[in-house]
Amino acid sequence: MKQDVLLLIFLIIWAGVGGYLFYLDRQVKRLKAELSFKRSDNQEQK
Amino acid sequence: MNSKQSVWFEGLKIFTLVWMAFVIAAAILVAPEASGFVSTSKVIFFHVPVAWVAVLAFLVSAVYSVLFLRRRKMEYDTWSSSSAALGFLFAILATITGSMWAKNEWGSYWNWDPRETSIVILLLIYAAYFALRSAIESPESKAQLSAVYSILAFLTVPFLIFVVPRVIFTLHPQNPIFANEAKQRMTPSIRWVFFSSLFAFSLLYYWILRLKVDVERIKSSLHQTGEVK
Repeated sequence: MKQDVLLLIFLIIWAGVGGYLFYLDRQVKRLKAELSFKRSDNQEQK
Repeated sequence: MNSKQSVWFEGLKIFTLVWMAFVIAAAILVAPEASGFVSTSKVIFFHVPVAWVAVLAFLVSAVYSVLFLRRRKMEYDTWSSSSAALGFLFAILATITGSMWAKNEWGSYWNWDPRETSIVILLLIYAAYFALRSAIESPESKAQLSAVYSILAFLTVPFLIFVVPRVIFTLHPQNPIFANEAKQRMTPSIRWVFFSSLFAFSLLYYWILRLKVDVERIKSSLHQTGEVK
């Protein structure tokens, strides 16, 4: 039982922290790509 | 972020991952179990650092709020709100993991223990902070009001986290770092792993905070070009 509790707590923390870290990392990459596309698009229009 | 900062940040990420892996291995393999617990005492290596990061994040949020009110730079508002969001996430994780441990130790998930009650009050205080931010449209007014609120909210943190559980009787284990009796103090190996874990989670907090601030900065740049989704 001792190890089950520790494992469960460990998994909850890493699901929360790791999941959020992964989400933010993906979001930064997506937004950077979007921004560079928009900037190059603006330059082409000029 | 310039290239020098970027290299430094990449190095920090790798160091954090290695340090965290080391802490996890040490917590499982090296640190002994403390006596007198029904469930595992090793939860201290994960639950306490998460709670510590929540307090640290709320403190950073309050510090950036003070900086915003003094210098009126929107950049400080971004750091403040991002840190408050992380503090909220870590406080939720500390509450959930604490109640998992309480189920095994005390027999139920929730006991309205002073420590549990004070964290719920703290969560409600910071939930109101996000409600306030979402209710104001003007970025300047939002930043100004939420900076004042963030400072006031942080004033309750030392009281709710450090004072209330020491004034009112609590089932929650007391802080073993400053314990008076020798038998309640941490053994050197437990202390070593514990402080390593605090450091690892603090680094992890900084990593996530930088990412969150980056997201907000890029969103702001996209807003300026009128193309945010």
